[in-house]
Amino acid sequence: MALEATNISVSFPGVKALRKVSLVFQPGRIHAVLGANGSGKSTLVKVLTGIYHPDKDCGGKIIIDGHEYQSIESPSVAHEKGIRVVHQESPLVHTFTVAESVALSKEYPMKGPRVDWKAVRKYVQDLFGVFEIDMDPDTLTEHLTAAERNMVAMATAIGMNRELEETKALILDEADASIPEAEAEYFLKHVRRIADMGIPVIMVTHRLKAARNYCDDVSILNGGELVYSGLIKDTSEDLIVSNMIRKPAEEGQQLSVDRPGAALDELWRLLGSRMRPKKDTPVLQIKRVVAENLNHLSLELKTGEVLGIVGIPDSGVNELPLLLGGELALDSGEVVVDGKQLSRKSSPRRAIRAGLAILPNDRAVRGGIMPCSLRENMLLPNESRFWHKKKLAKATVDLCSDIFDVNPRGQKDMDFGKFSGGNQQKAIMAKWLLPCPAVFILNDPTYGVDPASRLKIFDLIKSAAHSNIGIIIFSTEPEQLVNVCTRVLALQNGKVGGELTVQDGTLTREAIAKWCYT
Amino acid sequence: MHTYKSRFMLLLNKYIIIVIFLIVMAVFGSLSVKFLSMQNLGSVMLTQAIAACLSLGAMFILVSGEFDLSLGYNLNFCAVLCAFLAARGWGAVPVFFASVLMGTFAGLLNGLVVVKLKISSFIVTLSIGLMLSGLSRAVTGGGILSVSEPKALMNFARGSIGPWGYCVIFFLVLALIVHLVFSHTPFGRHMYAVGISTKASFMAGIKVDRIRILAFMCAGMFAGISGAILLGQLGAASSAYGTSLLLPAYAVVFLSKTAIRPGYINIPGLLIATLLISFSKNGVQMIGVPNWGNHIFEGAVLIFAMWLSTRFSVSGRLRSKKTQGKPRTGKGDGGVSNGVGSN
Amino acid sequence: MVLHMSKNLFTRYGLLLIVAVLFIVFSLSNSAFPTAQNISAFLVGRVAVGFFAIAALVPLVAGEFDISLGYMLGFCIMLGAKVGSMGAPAWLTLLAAVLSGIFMGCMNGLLTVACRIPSTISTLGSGMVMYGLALGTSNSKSINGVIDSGAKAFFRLKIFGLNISIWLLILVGVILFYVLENTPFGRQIYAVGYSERVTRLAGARTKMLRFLSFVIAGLIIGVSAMIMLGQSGNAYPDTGPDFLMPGLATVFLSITYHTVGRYNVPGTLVALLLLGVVFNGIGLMGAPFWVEDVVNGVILLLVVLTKSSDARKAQTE
Repeated sequence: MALEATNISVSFPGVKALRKVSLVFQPGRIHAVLGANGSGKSTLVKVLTGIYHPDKDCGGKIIIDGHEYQSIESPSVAHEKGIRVVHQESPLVHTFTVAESVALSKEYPMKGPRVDWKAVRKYVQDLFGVFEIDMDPDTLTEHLTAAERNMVAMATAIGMNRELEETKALILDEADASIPEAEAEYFLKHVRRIADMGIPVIMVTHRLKAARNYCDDVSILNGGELVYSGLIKDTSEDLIVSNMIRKPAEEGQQLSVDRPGAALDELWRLLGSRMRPKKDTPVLQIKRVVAENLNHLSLELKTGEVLGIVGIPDSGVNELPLLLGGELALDSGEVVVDGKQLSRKSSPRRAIRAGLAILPNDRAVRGGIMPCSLRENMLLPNESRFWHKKKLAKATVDLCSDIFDVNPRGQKDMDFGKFSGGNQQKAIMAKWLLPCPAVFILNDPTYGVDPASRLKIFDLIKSAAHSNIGIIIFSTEPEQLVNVCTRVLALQNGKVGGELTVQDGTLTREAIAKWCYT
Repeated sequence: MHTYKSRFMLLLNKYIIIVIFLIVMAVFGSLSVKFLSMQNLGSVMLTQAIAACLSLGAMFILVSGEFDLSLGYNLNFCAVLCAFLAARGWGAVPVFFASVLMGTFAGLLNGLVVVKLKISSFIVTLSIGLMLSGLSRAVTGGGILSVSEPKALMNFARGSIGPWGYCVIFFLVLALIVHLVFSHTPFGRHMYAVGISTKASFMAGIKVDRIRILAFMCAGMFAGISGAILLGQLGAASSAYGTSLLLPAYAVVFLSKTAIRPGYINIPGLLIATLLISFSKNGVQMIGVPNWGNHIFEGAVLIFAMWLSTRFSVSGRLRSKKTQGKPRTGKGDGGVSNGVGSN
Repeated sequence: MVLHMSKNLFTRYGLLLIVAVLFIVFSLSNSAFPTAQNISAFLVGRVAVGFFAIAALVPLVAGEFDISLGYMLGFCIMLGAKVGSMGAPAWLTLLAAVLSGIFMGCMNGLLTVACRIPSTISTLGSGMVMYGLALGTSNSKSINGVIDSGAKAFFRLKIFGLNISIWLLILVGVILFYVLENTPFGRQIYAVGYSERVTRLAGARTKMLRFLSFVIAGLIIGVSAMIMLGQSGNAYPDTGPDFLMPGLATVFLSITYHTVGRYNVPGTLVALLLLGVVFNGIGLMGAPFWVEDVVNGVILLLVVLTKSSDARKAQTE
């Protein structure tokens, strides 16, 4: 039977995450749910899995197996009603064998007081048989590839026989995101088999090509609304992409920066940082670099240029920032900053000394230290400059809070973790721009950031560029780049696959989006 | 994917501790005639039985991802309690049970405060340990309590069949039970999961709080068992005996991660590690190195073995190239890596 | 976790208030308590634990756990005494004690950072080695009378009525406080303890920082050894491990004072004072000797319990 969601609206203070979204997921069909970050995809999934509840007075309904529900109270209720989810991170324990990991999430078959491992192994073997997984149950989980891990997770989630009958829907919440391109087909064939068992499969994904090859239906969310729903074969890539892009009107007013760069100059003057002169030579050159996914990649960045880099996950777009930040070693090739070559055996320290600054894409893990104060986070890379200069430190933090609009003001001793995501991000930008780097690299700078802070961040990027800092932005949200970049490079298979420039007129949202999703 | 070289490394990783152990036995055996004698082997195992039982308790703590600084004091207090009761005419069985109960109770206290009041386990177990230490000194009056009863307990703790001491056999039985608990009961499996990630376990429906408290209780129970055996063997208790066994107990559990199932605390590994450390110490003594040399040797062996295991840790390397770049879930590998909070 | 300054003055400095209150209570209940002689005596008794606590503080701040410090103390005293017993002048003997602390600190650092052995195990192992070496140096006996009376007199000096060792402790404490709270090095060490990754990405030499934390701990232990040796001129086997638990308790208590939730020097010193006042006061009231440890434990729990949950979790979670 179909799984239906009708008129689902979800609001949070200040934001409507879903607006009267209605979807039908037919059994035996794979239904792709697409949308940019913040489009409401994950909210929808959370409603179906009982983590969020639809707004009360909006007439929303969820129909499972013919029964109507106003909402699903909790994840265990969702599970009871037959909704199974597989997330990006599989719950398998990596020191256990596959059999042991599967057993962990089920009730153990017991022989008296002991776990009946024989029964477990048989169960797992039978399970693998039903799902056509060719694997030895005694393999260590850590030896599995990402695709295999997720396949096992799916099989475990659904189960066999009676469990199978009780499964009313399978939701793959970006379960394919962690699977490299090469294995993705293998994984998706598998998903197809599951759908063929008569289960409605909902696949939330970023991979357009995969969606078009394996899915039957597609629905696209944009800004919380359902903007398209229909058969995959009736769509083209361009159609999908144009529906996914956030409309400019929704982004708020266009950026206008008056006296660009002046505020930052003031900061650098206060600190005595050496400022960047305008030069004709490129500030950053990457020459035929080989490292992990990067396959003889070459590119150049001029002073004061804002360059965007996009690509699907496997293209090298995740590895390049790590390389530049000194976290990834070079196998061959050169990275030249300001005319000086970076040593092969890089480290974050060397990268910083060479003039590179990286804003990482995971704030909480690599961007800032939550239990430390704002001041400690902001000044961490440059502590020696503030030795014995408490007044200067305070003045710097205050000035940065002003320039970078970090709120609430005057709270330099407050725990960093207590600031909102947007404010944290701005503070981290301040942290890296303080010493006036040669190149400032931002990795997904607006992820999880409120709209007002987004605008401010772009504002600041433009200011920095105006002060002759070379800027590279990595992003999975194409809309952003159009506003700030003069040039966008698209990576494909570890190299530069295409170049879009304002000059040529090729720099459009649609063009960027295509490179991001396909 | 699995080249010949990597398969060799895998095997090496699993069994290198056993190899080291055999080498040690061979070396000491050849250097000292008495080393390999039944009598010697038997007496070493007998004296080490106390520390070995305590290490079983330490295993529960480390598997569930905690750290308990009170185990040594717990053991000590239980031994003192035994002496106290014995001096008042209690029989062997009641004394033993009293000891076990006391140890378990102390563990329960630890567990409740750490889990329910959410205070760091370092602080709580240290506090309770200190309190136990004080109480121990109170009971002994700062001196030594000697007892000659109960005879049954002493026979149990000191007697043997051939080279196999009764308490050694008892320990082996306990070890087997612990092994079964960890590999064949949901409780044990869940404890591993809790040790790796309390969050993921909670999401999977495991009763995390209950498991953590039980871990402390089990550790305390073993402290009680060891305390009773200690009294049986020495016939006396003071506020000092046994307190130093805490860290060696943890050492052996850490070392177990280097054998049989690398990266994973396990009983067979624990047994090998215990044998290795015990016989190394003894061997060093037998070849005439004075007592103090023992400590140096023990420390050196511990460091060397740990270093070897981190050096040859195969867990990262055999993964296929295709899965690189994907961060792994979980914070550990069946045990806390440095006990202070991993980043 | 640093609390906002003005709002929570009581939370930050409440511990000192407790000390003051207890001081008054004990003074009122026993006239022998507030005498200069008594105070001086109990303070002197606290010095050894105090040094220990401050030494243990540094690796804890850096996110490491150094269990070898107790054995290290014994080793340093014994080594110094050995040097002295071979006829060296007092200054050399004392210097040897300090240097051996630094040396052992380096060893701990190398094992933990370079060999990548988790600190609980590396210091466990090194502690055992140090214990063995200490016993071996003296053949498990004590070494006596290695310091000439001139040097001993120095260590028996009193300034403002307090023994010089107390002042040395305060001096070391002040220096460490300055380093930890006012220098880039100190801030980076705290950062490393919280998140080695972010700190490394910010360009700090995290390996060096962690290594140095062990060396500093060793240095402080060495200084403590020097003082103990200088005062008595004797070295006894088995010195040291007894300070481990009380010392750790003192450091853990420090998270309730000054920088709540974070280990710090002022907190350690105040905690030291608190525990000293309590023991002394209770002792004068006739409590038996064994109460000390129990009280240590109870106070630690109680004080930590009464703080906010931030403080409870400390840096160890």
